[in-house]
Amino acid sequence: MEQFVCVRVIMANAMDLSLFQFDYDMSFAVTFLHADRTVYSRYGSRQDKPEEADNHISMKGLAETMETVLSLHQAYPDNRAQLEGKQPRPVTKQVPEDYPELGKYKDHLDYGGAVAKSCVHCHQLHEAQRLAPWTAGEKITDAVLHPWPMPNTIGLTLDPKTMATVAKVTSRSPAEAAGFESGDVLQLLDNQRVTSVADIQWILHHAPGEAALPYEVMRNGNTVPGVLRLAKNWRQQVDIAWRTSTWDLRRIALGGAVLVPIEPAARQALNLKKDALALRVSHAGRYGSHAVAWNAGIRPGDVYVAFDSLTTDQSETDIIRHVLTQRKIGDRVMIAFLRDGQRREVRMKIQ
Amino acid sequence: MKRVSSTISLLGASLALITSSSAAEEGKKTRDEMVMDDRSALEESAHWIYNDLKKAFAEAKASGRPLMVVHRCIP
Repeated sequence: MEQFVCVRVIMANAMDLSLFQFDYDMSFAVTFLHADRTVYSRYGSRQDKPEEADNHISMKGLAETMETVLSLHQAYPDNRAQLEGKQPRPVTKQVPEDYPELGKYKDHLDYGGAVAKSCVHCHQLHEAQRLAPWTAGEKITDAVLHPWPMPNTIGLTLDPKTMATVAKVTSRSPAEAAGFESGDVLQLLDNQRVTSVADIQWILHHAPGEAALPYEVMRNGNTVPGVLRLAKNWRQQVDIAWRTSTWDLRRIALGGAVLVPIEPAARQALNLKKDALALRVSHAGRYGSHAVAWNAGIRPGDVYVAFDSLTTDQSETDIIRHVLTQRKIGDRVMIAFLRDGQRREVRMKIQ
Repeated sequence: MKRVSSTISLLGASLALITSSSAAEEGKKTRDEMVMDDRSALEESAHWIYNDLKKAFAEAKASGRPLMVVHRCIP
Protein backbone atom coordinates (compact mmCIF):
# COMPACT_ATOMS: atom_id res chain seq x y z
CA MET A 1 0.00 0.00 0.00
CA GLU A 2 2.92 2.34 0.54
CA GLN A 3 3.43 2.21 -3.22
CA PHE A 4 0.10 3.99 -3.69
CA VAL A 5 -1.23 7.37 -2.69
CA CYS A 6 -4.36 6.17 -0.86
CA VAL A 7 -7.38 8.43 -0.65
CA ARG A 8 -10.66 7.78 1.09
CA VAL A 9 -13.63 9.71 -0.23
CA ILE A 10 -16.87 9.30 1.67
CA MET A 11 -19.13 11.64 -0.30
CA ALA A 12 -20.28 12.25 -3.84
CA ASN A 13 -20.54 15.98 -3.19
CA ALA A 14 -18.69 17.82 -5.95
CA MET A 15 -17.45 14.50 -7.35
CA ASP A 16 -15.79 14.99 -10.72
CA LEU A 17 -18.15 13.00 -12.93
CA SER A 18 -15.80 13.32 -15.88
CA LEU A 19 -13.27 11.24 -13.94
CA PHE A 20 -15.00 9.00 -11.41
CA GLN A 21 -17.28 6.70 -13.34
CA PHE A 22 -18.24 3.50 -11.54
CA ASP A 23 -21.40 1.70 -10.46
CA TYR A 24 -22.96 4.36 -8.27
CA ASP A 25 -25.16 1.82 -6.47
CA MET A 26 -22.14 0.41 -4.70
CA SER A 27 -21.06 1.50 -1.26
CA PHE A 28 -17.41 0.55 -1.88
CA ALA A 29 -15.62 1.33 -5.14
CA VAL A 30 -11.95 1.79 -5.93
CA THR A 31 -10.46 3.70 -8.85
CA PHE A 32 -6.74 3.38 -9.61
CA LEU A 33 -5.25 6.31 -11.50
CA HIS A 34 -2.09 7.96 -12.71
CA ALA A 35 -1.56 11.51 -11.49
CA ASP A 36 -2.36 12.68 -15.03
CA ARG A 37 -5.92 11.26 -14.52
CA THR A 38 -5.40 8.15 -16.65
CA VAL A 39 -7.50 5.33 -15.20
CA TYR A 40 -5.66 2.03 -14.70
CA SER A 41 -8.34 -0.03 -13.06
CA ARG A 42 -11.65 -0.13 -11.22
CA TYR A 43 -12.32 -2.49 -8.34
CA GLY A 44 -15.53 -3.27 -6.46
CA SER A 45 -18.49 -5.31 -7.65
CA ARG A 46 -21.88 -6.19 -6.29
CA GLN A 47 -25.12 -7.75 -7.43
CA ASP A 48 -26.80 -8.77 -4.21
CA LYS A 49 -28.64 -7.32 -1.28
CA PRO A 50 -26.62 -5.78 1.63
CA GLU A 51 -26.13 -9.04 3.53
CA GLU A 52 -24.41 -10.50 0.46
CA ALA A 53 -22.68 -7.33 -0.69
CA ASP A 54 -19.18 -8.73 -0.16
CA ASN A 55 -19.69 -11.89 -2.22
CA HIS A 56 -17.83 -10.56 -5.22
CA ILE A 57 -14.85 -8.88 -3.61
CA SER A 58 -12.01 -10.05 -1.40
CA MET A 59 -8.77 -8.72 0.02
CA LYS A 60 -6.85 -11.31 -1.99
CA GLY A 61 -8.57 -10.26 -5.20
CA LEU A 62 -7.93 -6.60 -4.44
CA ALA A 63 -4.27 -7.36 -3.71
CA GLU A 64 -3.88 -9.05 -7.10
CA THR A 65 -5.50 -6.07 -8.78
CA MET A 66 -3.13 -3.72 -6.94
CA GLU A 67 -0.10 -5.73 -8.06
CA THR A 68 -1.27 -5.52 -11.66
CA VAL A 69 -1.92 -1.80 -11.33
CA LEU A 70 1.68 -1.34 -10.20
CA SER A 71 2.82 -3.22 -13.31
CA LEU A 72 0.64 -1.03 -15.50
CA HIS A 73 2.02 2.06 -13.76
CA GLN A 74 5.60 0.95 -14.41
CA ALA A 75 4.85 0.31 -18.07
CA TYR A 76 3.00 3.61 -18.53
CA PRO A 77 2.82 5.43 -20.96
CA ASP A 78 3.98 2.76 -23.40
CA ASN A 79 0.81 0.79 -22.62
CA ARG A 80 -1.65 3.58 -23.40
CA ALA A 81 -3.42 1.49 -26.06
CA GLN A 82 -4.47 -1.12 -23.47
CA LEU A 83 -5.78 1.63 -21.21
CA GLU A 84 -7.60 3.71 -23.79
CA GLY A 85 -10.94 1.89 -23.44
CA LYS A 86 -10.85 2.24 -19.66
CA GLN A 87 -10.94 6.01 -19.75
CA PRO A 88 -14.05 7.91 -18.59
CA ARG A 89 -16.65 8.83 -21.18
CA PRO A 90 -17.88 12.37 -21.87
CA VAL A 91 -20.53 13.62 -19.46
CA THR A 92 -23.24 16.27 -19.64
CA LYS A 93 -22.95 17.20 -15.95
CA GLN A 94 -19.63 17.92 -14.29
CA VAL A 95 -20.71 17.36 -10.69
CA PRO A 96 -23.77 15.77 -9.04
CA GLU A 97 -25.03 19.17 -7.91
CA ASP A 98 -25.63 20.04 -11.58
CA TYR A 99 -28.65 17.71 -11.54
CA PRO A 100 -31.82 19.56 -10.44
CA GLU A 101 -32.66 16.97 -7.76
CA LEU A 102 -29.20 17.37 -6.19
CA GLY A 103 -28.81 21.11 -6.56
CA LYS A 104 -29.57 21.71 -2.88
CA TYR A 105 -26.35 20.04 -1.74
CA LYS A 106 -23.11 21.88 -1.08
CA ASP A 107 -19.68 20.84 -2.31
CA HIS A 108 -18.62 19.82 1.18
CA LEU A 109 -19.99 17.98 4.20
CA ASP A 110 -21.44 19.80 7.19
CA TYR A 111 -19.24 18.32 9.90
CA GLY A 112 -20.57 20.83 12.40
CA GLY A 113 -24.19 19.86 11.83
CA ALA A 114 -26.19 17.02 10.29
CA VAL A 115 -23.23 15.56 8.46
CA ALA A 116 -24.93 12.47 7.02
CA LYS A 117 -27.80 14.53 5.63
CA SER A 118 -25.36 16.89 3.96
CA CYS A 119 -23.88 14.03 1.94
CA VAL A 120 -24.74 13.30 -1.69
CA HIS A 121 -24.99 9.53 -1.73
CA CYS A 122 -23.73 7.83 -4.88
CA HIS A 123 -27.06 6.06 -5.46
CA GLN A 124 -28.76 9.47 -5.55
CA LEU A 125 -26.53 10.32 -8.46
CA HIS A 126 -27.64 7.19 -10.25
CA GLU A 127 -31.29 8.08 -9.60
CA ALA A 128 -30.77 11.62 -10.90
CA GLN A 129 -29.05 10.36 -14.05
CA ARG A 130 -32.00 8.09 -14.79
CA LEU A 131 -34.70 10.56 -13.82
CA ALA A 132 -33.50 13.18 -16.30
CA PRO A 133 -34.50 11.27 -19.47
CA TRP A 134 -37.65 9.83 -17.85
CA THR A 135 -39.08 13.22 -16.88
CA ALA A 136 -38.08 14.60 -20.29
CA GLY A 137 -40.15 11.86 -21.94
CA GLU A 138 -37.13 10.32 -23.60
CA LYS A 139 -36.72 6.61 -24.28
CA ILE A 140 -35.09 4.72 -21.42
CA THR A 141 -32.55 2.34 -22.86
CA ASP A 142 -31.57 -1.09 -21.60
CA ALA A 143 -28.11 0.28 -20.84
CA VAL A 144 -29.65 2.83 -18.49
CA LEU A 145 -32.07 0.39 -16.89
CA HIS A 146 -29.62 -2.50 -16.58
CA PRO A 147 -26.31 -0.84 -15.79
CA TRP A 148 -22.97 -2.45 -14.96
CA PRO A 149 -23.79 -6.06 -15.88
CA MET A 150 -21.95 -8.63 -13.82
CA PRO A 151 -20.03 -11.31 -15.77
CA ASN A 152 -22.59 -13.94 -14.81
CA THR A 153 -25.02 -12.11 -17.08
CA ILE A 154 -23.08 -13.60 -19.97
CA GLY A 155 -22.42 -16.90 -18.19
CA LEU A 156 -19.07 -16.18 -16.52
CA THR A 157 -18.61 -16.64 -12.80
CA LEU A 158 -15.33 -15.17 -11.60
CA ASP A 159 -13.48 -16.33 -8.51
CA PRO A 160 -13.69 -13.32 -6.13
CA LYS A 161 -10.39 -14.35 -4.51
CA THR A 162 -8.60 -13.67 -7.78
CA MET A 163 -8.25 -10.76 -10.13
CA ALA A 164 -10.14 -12.29 -13.06
CA THR A 165 -10.03 -16.09 -13.01
CA VAL A 166 -13.05 -17.95 -14.39
CA ALA A 167 -14.55 -20.21 -11.72
CA LYS A 168 -17.50 -21.45 -13.75
CA VAL A 169 -19.00 -21.18 -17.22
CA THR A 170 -22.77 -21.49 -17.44
CA SER A 171 -24.15 -24.02 -19.90
CA ARG A 172 -25.74 -22.62 -23.05
CA SER A 173 -24.49 -19.11 -22.24
CA PRO A 174 -22.70 -16.57 -24.46
CA ALA A 175 -19.51 -17.32 -22.49
CA GLU A 176 -19.75 -21.03 -23.25
CA ALA A 177 -20.45 -20.30 -26.92
CA ALA A 178 -17.38 -18.05 -26.97
CA GLY A 179 -15.16 -20.87 -25.71
CA PHE A 180 -14.40 -19.76 -22.16
CA GLU A 181 -13.33 -22.52 -19.78
CA SER A 182 -13.12 -22.83 -16.04
CA GLY A 183 -9.63 -21.80 -14.87
CA ASP A 184 -9.09 -19.29 -17.66
CA VAL A 185 -7.46 -16.06 -16.54
CA LEU A 186 -8.97 -13.18 -18.46
CA GLN A 187 -6.28 -10.89 -19.87
CA LEU A 188 -7.99 -8.77 -22.50
CA LEU A 189 -11.61 -8.08 -23.32
CA ASP A 190 -12.62 -5.66 -26.04
CA ASN A 191 -8.90 -4.80 -26.29
CA GLN A 192 -8.83 -3.59 -22.66
CA ARG A 193 -6.54 -5.03 -20.01
CA VAL A 194 -8.75 -6.78 -17.47
CA THR A 195 -7.64 -6.23 -13.88
CA SER A 196 -10.85 -6.94 -11.96
CA VAL A 197 -14.49 -7.98 -12.19
CA ALA A 198 -15.33 -4.28 -12.21
CA ASP A 199 -13.23 -3.89 -15.37
CA ILE A 200 -15.37 -6.54 -17.05
CA GLN A 201 -18.49 -4.72 -15.85
CA TRP A 202 -17.14 -1.47 -17.32
CA ILE A 203 -16.65 -3.17 -20.70
CA LEU A 204 -20.10 -4.78 -20.63
CA HIS A 205 -21.68 -1.53 -19.44
CA HIS A 206 -20.38 0.26 -22.50
CA ALA A 207 -20.92 -2.61 -24.96
CA PRO A 208 -23.54 -2.09 -27.68
CA GLY A 209 -26.91 -3.86 -27.65
CA GLU A 210 -25.45 -6.45 -30.00
CA ALA A 211 -21.72 -6.92 -29.79
CA ALA A 212 -18.72 -9.03 -30.74
CA LEU A 213 -16.00 -8.49 -28.15
CA PRO A 214 -12.56 -10.01 -28.80
CA TYR A 215 -10.88 -11.52 -25.77
CA GLU A 216 -7.67 -13.23 -24.68
CA VAL A 217 -7.27 -15.63 -21.77
CA MET A 218 -4.30 -17.42 -20.25
CA ARG A 219 -4.98 -21.16 -20.31
CA ASN A 220 -2.35 -23.64 -19.17
CA GLY A 221 0.36 -21.10 -19.81
CA ASN A 222 -0.82 -20.26 -23.32
CA THR A 223 -2.60 -17.18 -24.62
CA VAL A 224 -5.91 -18.24 -26.13
CA PRO A 225 -7.96 -15.75 -28.16
CA GLY A 226 -11.69 -15.78 -28.82
CA VAL A 227 -14.72 -13.64 -29.51
CA LEU A 228 -17.59 -13.07 -27.10
CA ARG A 229 -20.83 -12.47 -29.00
CA LEU A 230 -23.74 -10.76 -27.28
CA ALA A 231 -27.19 -11.07 -28.81
CA LYS A 232 -29.93 -8.46 -28.82
CA ASN A 233 -31.58 -7.89 -25.39
CA TRP A 234 -28.72 -9.61 -23.53
CA ARG A 235 -28.79 -6.89 -20.88
CA GLN A 236 -32.35 -7.74 -19.89
CA GLN A 237 -30.99 -10.68 -17.90
CA VAL A 238 -29.53 -8.19 -15.42
CA ASP A 239 -31.64 -8.08 -12.26
CA ILE A 240 -31.78 -4.68 -10.58
CA ALA A 241 -33.81 -5.58 -7.48
CA TRP A 242 -30.78 -5.27 -5.15
CA ARG A 243 -29.95 -1.72 -6.20
CA THR A 244 -30.66 1.08 -3.78
CA SER A 245 -31.56 3.28 -6.73
CA THR A 246 -34.30 0.81 -7.71
CA TRP A 247 -36.29 2.21 -4.77
CA ASP A 248 -36.94 5.27 -6.93
CA LEU A 249 -37.87 3.09 -9.91
CA ARG A 250 -40.46 1.38 -7.70
CA ARG A 251 -41.91 4.80 -6.94
CA ILE A 252 -42.16 5.56 -10.66
CA ALA A 253 -43.34 2.23 -12.00
CA LEU A 254 -44.90 0.36 -9.08
CA GLY A 255 -46.35 3.17 -6.99
CA GLY A 256 -43.96 2.33 -4.15
CA ALA A 257 -44.70 -1.40 -4.03
CA VAL A 258 -42.00 -4.06 -3.85
CA LEU A 259 -42.68 -7.26 -5.79
CA VAL A 260 -41.04 -10.62 -5.12
CA PRO A 261 -41.36 -13.99 -6.84
CA ILE A 262 -44.09 -16.22 -5.44
CA GLU A 263 -43.07 -19.58 -3.99
CA PRO A 264 -43.92 -22.64 -6.17
CA ALA A 265 -46.17 -24.09 -3.48
CA ALA A 266 -48.11 -20.84 -3.18
CA ARG A 267 -48.44 -20.66 -6.95
CA GLN A 268 -49.90 -24.14 -6.97
CA ALA A 269 -52.23 -23.35 -4.09
CA LEU A 270 -53.57 -20.37 -6.03
CA ASN A 271 -54.08 -22.51 -9.18
CA LEU A 272 -51.72 -20.30 -11.17
CA LYS A 273 -50.00 -21.84 -14.18
CA LYS A 274 -46.19 -22.06 -14.25
CA ASP A 275 -45.95 -19.43 -16.98
CA ALA A 276 -48.54 -17.05 -15.51
CA LEU A 277 -47.62 -13.78 -13.85
CA ALA A 278 -47.42 -14.26 -10.09
CA LEU A 279 -45.59 -11.65 -8.01
CA ARG A 280 -46.28 -11.10 -4.36
CA VAL A 281 -46.34 -7.61 -2.84
CA SER A 282 -43.77 -7.71 -0.03
CA HIS A 283 -44.03 -4.03 0.81
CA ALA A 284 -46.24 -1.09 -0.08
CA GLY A 285 -45.05 2.40 0.77
CA ARG A 286 -47.28 4.52 2.97
CA TYR A 287 -45.91 8.01 2.50
CA GLY A 288 -45.79 10.63 -0.22
CA SER A 289 -45.11 9.53 -3.76
CA HIS A 290 -44.24 6.03 -2.54
CA ALA A 291 -47.86 5.49 -1.40
CA VAL A 292 -49.52 5.46 -4.83
CA ALA A 293 -49.99 1.68 -4.88
CA TRP A 294 -51.24 1.71 -1.29
CA ASN A 295 -53.68 4.49 -2.07
CA ALA A 296 -54.90 2.51 -5.08
CA GLY A 297 -55.78 -0.33 -2.70
CA ILE A 298 -52.71 -2.57 -2.94
CA ARG A 299 -51.60 -4.27 0.28
CA PRO A 300 -48.65 -6.50 1.26
CA GLY A 301 -49.46 -10.12 0.53
CA ASP A 302 -51.48 -9.38 -2.62
CA VAL A 303 -50.39 -11.45 -5.62
CA TYR A 304 -50.23 -9.64 -8.95
CA VAL A 305 -51.58 -11.78 -11.82
CA ALA A 306 -51.76 -9.01 -14.42
CA PHE A 307 -49.96 -5.70 -14.78
CA ASP A 308 -51.01 -3.50 -17.68
CA SER A 309 -50.74 -5.85 -20.70
CA LEU A 310 -48.48 -8.34 -18.93
CA THR A 311 -49.99 -11.64 -17.85
CA THR A 312 -47.10 -14.06 -18.33
CA ASP A 313 -44.37 -14.86 -15.81
CA GLN A 314 -42.23 -11.76 -15.18
CA SER A 315 -39.78 -10.50 -12.60
CA GLU A 316 -40.12 -7.20 -10.79
CA THR A 317 -37.31 -5.93 -13.03
CA ASP A 318 -39.33 -6.94 -16.11
CA ILE A 319 -42.37 -4.99 -14.85
CA ILE A 320 -40.25 -1.91 -14.19
CA ARG A 321 -38.70 -2.15 -17.65
CA HIS A 322 -42.15 -2.48 -19.23
CA VAL A 323 -43.31 0.72 -17.57
CA LEU A 324 -40.19 2.71 -18.35
CA THR A 325 -40.10 1.66 -21.99
CA GLN A 326 -43.81 1.42 -22.82
CA ARG A 327 -45.46 4.02 -20.61
CA LYS A 328 -44.99 7.66 -19.66
CA ILE A 329 -45.64 9.86 -16.65
CA GLY A 330 -49.37 10.25 -15.98
CA ASP A 331 -50.44 7.01 -17.70
CA ARG A 332 -52.71 4.70 -15.74
CA VAL A 333 -52.14 0.96 -15.69
CA MET A 334 -54.50 -1.82 -14.67
CA ILE A 335 -53.30 -4.19 -11.96
CA ALA A 336 -55.14 -7.45 -11.30
CA PHE A 337 -54.29 -9.24 -8.07
CA LEU A 338 -55.42 -12.03 -5.81
CA ARG A 339 -56.32 -11.43 -2.18
CA ASP A 340 -57.87 -14.16 -0.06
CA GLY A 341 -58.37 -16.14 -3.25
CA GLN A 342 -60.46 -13.40 -4.85
CA ARG A 343 -59.39 -11.55 -7.99
CA ARG A 344 -59.51 -7.77 -7.77
CA GLU A 345 -58.51 -4.97 -10.11
CA VAL A 346 -57.28 -1.45 -9.55
CA ARG A 347 -55.87 1.29 -11.74
CA MET A 348 -52.65 3.02 -10.76
CA LYS A 349 -50.95 6.16 -11.99
CA ILE A 350 -47.41 6.03 -13.35
CA GLN A 351 -45.24 8.79 -11.88
CA MET B 1 3.34 -14.25 -5.12
CA LYS B 2 5.54 -12.81 -2.41
CA ARG B 3 4.54 -9.31 -3.42
CA VAL B 4 0.86 -10.29 -3.41
CA SER B 5 1.21 -11.75 0.09
CA SER B 6 2.93 -8.60 1.24
CA THR B 7 0.19 -6.48 -0.20
CA ILE B 8 -2.47 -8.61 1.47
CA SER B 9 -0.68 -8.23 4.75
CA LEU B 10 -0.62 -4.48 4.45
CA LEU B 11 -4.19 -4.44 3.27
CA GLY B 12 -5.12 -6.52 6.26
CA ALA B 13 -3.69 -3.86 8.52
CA SER B 14 -5.82 -1.30 6.80
CA LEU B 15 -8.84 -3.51 6.26
CA ALA B 16 -10.84 -1.84 8.96
CA LEU B 17 -10.11 1.51 7.45
CA ILE B 18 -11.05 0.47 3.94
CA THR B 19 -14.28 -1.31 4.61
CA SER B 20 -15.31 -0.22 8.08
CA SER B 21 -18.38 1.60 9.24
CA SER B 22 -21.18 -0.34 7.63
CA ALA B 23 -24.44 0.19 9.48
CA ALA B 24 -24.53 -3.46 10.53
CA GLU B 25 -21.07 -3.29 12.07
CA GLU B 26 -21.72 -0.09 13.91
CA GLY B 27 -24.94 -1.24 15.52
CA LYS B 28 -26.62 1.51 17.46
CA LYS B 29 -24.46 4.43 16.40
CA THR B 30 -26.19 7.20 14.51
CA ARG B 31 -25.19 7.88 10.94
CA ASP B 32 -23.58 11.13 11.98
CA GLU B 33 -21.54 9.35 14.66
CA MET B 34 -20.33 6.78 12.14
CA VAL B 35 -19.18 9.51 9.76
CA MET B 36 -17.36 11.37 12.53
CA ASP B 37 -15.73 8.16 13.81
CA ASP B 38 -14.57 7.31 10.30
CA ARG B 39 -13.02 10.73 9.87
CA SER B 40 -11.19 10.45 13.18
CA ALA B 41 -9.79 7.04 12.29
CA LEU B 42 -8.69 8.03 8.81
CA GLU B 43 -7.18 11.36 9.73
CA GLU B 44 -4.92 9.56 12.18
CA SER B 45 -3.83 7.01 9.59
CA ALA B 46 -0.39 7.32 8.06
CA HIS B 47 -1.57 5.53 4.91
CA TRP B 48 -4.66 7.51 4.00
CA ILE B 49 -5.60 10.96 2.79
CA TYR B 50 -9.13 11.78 3.86
CA ASN B 51 -11.56 13.41 1.44
CA ASP B 52 -8.90 15.55 -0.23
CA LEU B 53 -8.34 14.61 -3.85
CA LYS B 54 -6.45 17.79 -4.64
CA LYS B 55 -3.84 16.90 -2.04
CA ALA B 56 -3.76 13.31 -3.25
CA PHE B 57 -3.15 14.25 -6.88
CA ALA B 58 -0.41 16.65 -5.82
CA GLU B 59 1.25 13.93 -3.75
CA ALA B 60 0.94 11.41 -6.61
CA LYS B 61 2.50 13.87 -9.02
CA ALA B 62 5.35 14.67 -6.66
CA SER B 63 6.06 11.09 -5.65
CA GLY B 64 5.40 9.33 -8.96
CA ARG B 65 3.10 6.86 -7.24
CA PRO B 66 -0.32 5.83 -8.61
CA LEU B 67 -3.49 6.82 -6.82
CA MET B 68 -5.86 4.44 -5.11
CA VAL B 69 -9.12 6.33 -4.62
CA VAL B 70 -11.62 4.52 -2.42
CA HIS B 71 -15.19 5.77 -2.55
CA ARG B 72 -16.90 4.45 0.54
CA CYS B 73 -20.44 5.24 1.66
CA ILE B 74 -20.41 5.37 5.46
CA PRO B 75 -24.05 5.67 6.56
